[in-house]
Amino acid sequence: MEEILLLITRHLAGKTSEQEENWLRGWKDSSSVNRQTFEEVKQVWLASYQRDDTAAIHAFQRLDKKMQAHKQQETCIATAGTSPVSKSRRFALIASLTLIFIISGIFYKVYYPSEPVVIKEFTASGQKKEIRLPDGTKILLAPQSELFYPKDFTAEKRVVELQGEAYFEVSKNPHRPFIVRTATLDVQVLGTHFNVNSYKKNSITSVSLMEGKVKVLMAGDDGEEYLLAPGQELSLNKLNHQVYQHEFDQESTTGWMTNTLLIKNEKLGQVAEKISQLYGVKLIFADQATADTRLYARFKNESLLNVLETISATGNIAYRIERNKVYLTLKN
Amino acid sequence: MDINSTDNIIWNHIVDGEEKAFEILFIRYYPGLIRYAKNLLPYPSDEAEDIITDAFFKIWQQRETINIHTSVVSYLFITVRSRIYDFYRAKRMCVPVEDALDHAEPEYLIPDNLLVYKELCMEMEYLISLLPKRTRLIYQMNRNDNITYKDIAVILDISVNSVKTHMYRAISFLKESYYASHNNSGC
Repeated sequence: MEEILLLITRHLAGKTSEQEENWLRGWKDSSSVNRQTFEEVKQVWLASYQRDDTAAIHAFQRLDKKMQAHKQQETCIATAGTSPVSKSRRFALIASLTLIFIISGIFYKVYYPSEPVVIKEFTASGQKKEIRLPDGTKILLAPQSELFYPKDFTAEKRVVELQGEAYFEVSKNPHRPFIVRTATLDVQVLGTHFNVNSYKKNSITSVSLMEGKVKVLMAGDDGEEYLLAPGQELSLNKLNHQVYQHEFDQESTTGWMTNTLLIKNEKLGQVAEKISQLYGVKLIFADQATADTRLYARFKNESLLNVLETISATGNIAYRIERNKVYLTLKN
Repeated sequence: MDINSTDNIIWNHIVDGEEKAFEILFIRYYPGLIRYAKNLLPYPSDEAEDIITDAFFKIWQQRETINIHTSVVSYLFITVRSRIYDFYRAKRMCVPVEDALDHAEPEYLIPDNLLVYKELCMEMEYLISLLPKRTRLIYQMNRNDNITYKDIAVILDISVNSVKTHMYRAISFLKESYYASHNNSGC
């Protein structure tokens, strides 16, 4: 049996020889039990594929930046250290080399602004971080989020990259637009307070404006633009590319800043992500019915245990904690 | 060369300095390397990403002098492992004895355990998380990263037969428990 199960998986992975293929075909056709076994292994094999390349793509972008920076350095060194020299002329050479370096340095600065130093800030689950940018902008980074920004902004614009969620209070400077870049859209600002939620694992990216004015530019070739007024939220569904513009509930949007968890007749499955960001646990539901349980609740600065106790009492749900996982199931 | 090319073809292009080839290899094995690194690092840890990116950076710099005797994939995994050991040494921590895990009798999935989960319609992801650590690692290397039994054996320094035993245990447990849970509760 051992060999057969493994042979089926190797067949599914396309790693069998012609001989093995023939043998397997004969085995499969010889009885309905065998065919059943084959189908079951196939289902399991297909369902157990867990692969997500987004982290890899991001990591490579960072590595690529490092490689490009290194390449520039290498070419610099290569042009500087050629041709053998006699001892007597060493001083002159050093002096002139220094001069060349200084001059080329100036030219380099003027014609090719050097690769900006990028600073990365990130938060783990249950963690928040306040960041002050050199221009005075205040950012509060939500749990499990990353923010990249240059040490010095360029003269024309201020660009930061966000993965996850953050609240921004941008310092006013109409001549240097502030841009928050996410995987799916750009938010362009002149000076205002707003929240951007762009977690990779969420299918929805949303921009919520508290004060001022922002322009949202969709990523991609056509680059549609949307203007938001205070109190309005724009959400983009990554899966079907639908854009919605609507009023939003300030408390539930910015609740993460004050450790407030607001559940307004939402399904547990929908709030699971928020809970895991706030408390660093993973919620596992026994079945769809448990995940579909709707609740009203408001927690402020509560411990995970209190949150779970309340959920289990109001939703008639039993829970069990194992390490960093919480298993939830409906009580009969 | 494209994303379906074999590791060896891709490696030849990398030696020639093709960055696109390097990107393909990186993306192909990064998720698996992260999983493997997190397995070896003290839990929880943020070091895995940096260790792997640094390892790849070094590989790129030294691509012309690197001599791969086994296979590209085992070279990558073993490089990452030795960098993790360096990390432990730098922190003056003890290196975890991963081999001890393997020689010990693998945890058996007791029939009683299966009954407990029978009533639940379980997600495959959850079932995979129930596998013993080592079995899970091996199953995921084979399933998600398409690494052959032979290369897994080289990377983990165990026999091919041992890899097969883990694979068999994984697939039969997943099959049994998946169908036990799905047939009984009608989902």
